[in-house]
Amino acid sequence: MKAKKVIFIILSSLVIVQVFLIDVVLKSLGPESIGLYTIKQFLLISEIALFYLIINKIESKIERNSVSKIGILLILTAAILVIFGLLSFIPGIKFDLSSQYIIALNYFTVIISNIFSTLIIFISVYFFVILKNFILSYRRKSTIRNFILLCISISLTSLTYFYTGVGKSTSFSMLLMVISIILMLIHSFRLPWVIYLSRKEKYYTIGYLILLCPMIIFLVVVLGSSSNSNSPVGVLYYSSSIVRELVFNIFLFGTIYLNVAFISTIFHLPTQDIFDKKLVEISSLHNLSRLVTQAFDFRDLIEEINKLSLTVCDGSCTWIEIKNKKNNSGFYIAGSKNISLDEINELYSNSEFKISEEVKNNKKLVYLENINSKLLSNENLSKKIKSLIAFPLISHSDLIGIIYIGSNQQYGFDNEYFNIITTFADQVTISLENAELLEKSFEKERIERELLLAQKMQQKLLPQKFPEHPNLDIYAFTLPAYEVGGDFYDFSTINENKIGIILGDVSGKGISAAFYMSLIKGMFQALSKIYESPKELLININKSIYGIIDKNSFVSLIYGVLDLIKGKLYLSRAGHCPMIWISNSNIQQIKPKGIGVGLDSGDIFTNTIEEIELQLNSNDVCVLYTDGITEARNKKNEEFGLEKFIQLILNNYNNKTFTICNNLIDEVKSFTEQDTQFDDITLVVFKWKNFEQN
Amino acid sequence: MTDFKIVQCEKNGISIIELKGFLDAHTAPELEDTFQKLIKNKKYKIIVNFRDLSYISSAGLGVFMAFIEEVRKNEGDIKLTNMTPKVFNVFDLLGFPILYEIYGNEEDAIAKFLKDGENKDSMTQEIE
Repeated sequence: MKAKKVIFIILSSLVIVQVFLIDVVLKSLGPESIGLYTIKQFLLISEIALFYLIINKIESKIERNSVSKIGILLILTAAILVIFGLLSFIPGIKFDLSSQYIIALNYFTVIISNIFSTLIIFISVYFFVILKNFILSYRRKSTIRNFILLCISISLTSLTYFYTGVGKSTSFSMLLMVISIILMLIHSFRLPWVIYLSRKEKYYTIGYLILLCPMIIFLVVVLGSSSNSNSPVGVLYYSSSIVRELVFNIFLFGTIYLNVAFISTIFHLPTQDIFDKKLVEISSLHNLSRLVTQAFDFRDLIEEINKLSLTVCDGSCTWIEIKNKKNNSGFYIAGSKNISLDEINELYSNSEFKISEEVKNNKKLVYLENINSKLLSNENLSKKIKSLIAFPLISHSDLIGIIYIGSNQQYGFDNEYFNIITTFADQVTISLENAELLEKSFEKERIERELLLAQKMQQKLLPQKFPEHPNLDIYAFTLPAYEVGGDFYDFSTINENKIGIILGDVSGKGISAAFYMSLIKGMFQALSKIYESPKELLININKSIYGIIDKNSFVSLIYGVLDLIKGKLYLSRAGHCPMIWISNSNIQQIKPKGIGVGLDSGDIFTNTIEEIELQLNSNDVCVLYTDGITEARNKKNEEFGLEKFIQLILNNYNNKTFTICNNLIDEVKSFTEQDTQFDDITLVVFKWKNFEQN
Repeated sequence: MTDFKIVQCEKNGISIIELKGFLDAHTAPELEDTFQKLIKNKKYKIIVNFRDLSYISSAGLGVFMAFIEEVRKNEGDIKLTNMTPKVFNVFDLLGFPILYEIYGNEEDAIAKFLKDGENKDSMTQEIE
């Protein structure tokens, strides 16, 4: 790219030198030479083209705003005027205008003319490039096409002067000229950049144009005048009529374009306010909508809303009231800007100040356009707030908050603001709700973590290993329906040959059941060491627990003490599912009498409960379970059922308890097809083995 | 799944509650409300008909536990009738038949209420 530029510069320098040499030759030869003159014309055209390429390259790399572009146009125009001024003061420039082609009368004229005409061509091309950038800065599909048409038209107009002398225009060139002017007029309305100027930029633009417009009109008049022997324009005519015509056209276009721009800028001044406001509105809403996705912190969000309230509505102070959702205790001030909490409270304490109530009752925007300074005893406050708007934040027809914006001017808000405010309020509502949702989800996450912790704790409460004895094969399994559950099993080593096996189900599910479960577990561990008889133990658990747990809660327990040497099982049941006992493929449900723990204060419980003594045979299987298994349901709402359960045990009882247990659980799981588990599931399977017998 | 319905009526000053569908942790509060209203209106003679109840969970059982004490303190009772074998089994396992009077049909339960009432009346007459 850089190499290209260098080549262009070298080429154009060569062209400039060649043009100069031709001029010298023409001067020395005296009479005109059509051939040389033609070559000179072509060289000049290529010079213009090269200048255009160079300048275009330079300009395309510079980012200019509209004001600086106008500034450059002003400088360029001034430069040409200065050159013309210099030319008219330099003595000794003389041309012979008598023949078809202008002839320099001395070598000094040749030198001066070449220098200045080259400068003028350069400046004109520069001027043209800037104009082009103006036109193409906000382009549409047709913009480039129209602009190329204009360029062609101007070029053709200029080229018609290829062989004509001074001021000798043909009707054809006049026609082209008219077309050019029409195209220029069309282009002069391509002024979208004027709209986007800020107020300050518009003032600068107008200032520049006030200087530039007369200058450029004067320049066009000078350029358009026919040459006389010592007119500065003679330099251009001498260079070539094409050049003169082109320069004239460029500045003519400039004149039309800039004058229209001048008028347009002036006419756009009164609408500036509205335009600025809209711009602020768009950018604030944009900021706010970005805020919606960023609001991780409620305080930051409120701070940001306050900031935006001031910019959107051009207020002097603002505060925001938010409905207290947690305990429904009305509204609280969530944040303020440029006004202290004390000042707001002072406002509220004033009985005349009813704006809050009005908004709360009507859920509509309220505007106090002219606040009586007597209303506010605090001088500082009355200076700050001369008008005030309060508007509701409404979500699902529920008032969730109010934003107040004060202005230090009477009638500080006009109707134009109200549209903005409505949109603004919507956005604020969304962002507040978003923040709340986010907070809720954090809270939910926290609770989930806690529950997970509770789950781990509960798992730790279960026996970490099964009792070990050569005469015993035991396995157990529990799966809560939710994170934590009310089912449990536990073991107690009463002495080296006696173990206690307990299984229970606390009514209800989830956290409350889990609490009671851990309570029972603690009692069991403590009491099982004291009361060896299952009946005694259950009676004492009932006594301890009744009155502690909720009236509508109860616990069903089944507790067996197994003498591992004799194979005797002492079993008591407190309202729980019976034990399933398989002895020599003979199945029995063992159901000693007994009511649930926590149902009765003592007497009925004590009088009802039984203790059964069973003599187990070697390899007998005993199964303790909770109703979560038999009442497990599938998608069709069918129950797993006791019969199926017993059948499964019968099919499995020769296996090790580990296998029996897993097979049973697998069956229940495949039956429910991994649907939401209905209730906690717990299972204890044990087998007594008589080694002496084996 | 959790279809549950309560139909209420009154016969001879005895409140009769008919339960339908599933009584579990989700539907139990509905039954609790019903009991609460009855107690608030000082209606302590209550019969619960289980004819159309297809399932009861431990939370459902808990509802009866929650109110029986207060009802009995006020010389009333909660009597249970028309249980399907399945529902009865749940009550039976927990030992409810010991704590509650369970009848095959409403008439028997009503008769028992009326008989108790007469006994009480005759007792008060004797005192007089």
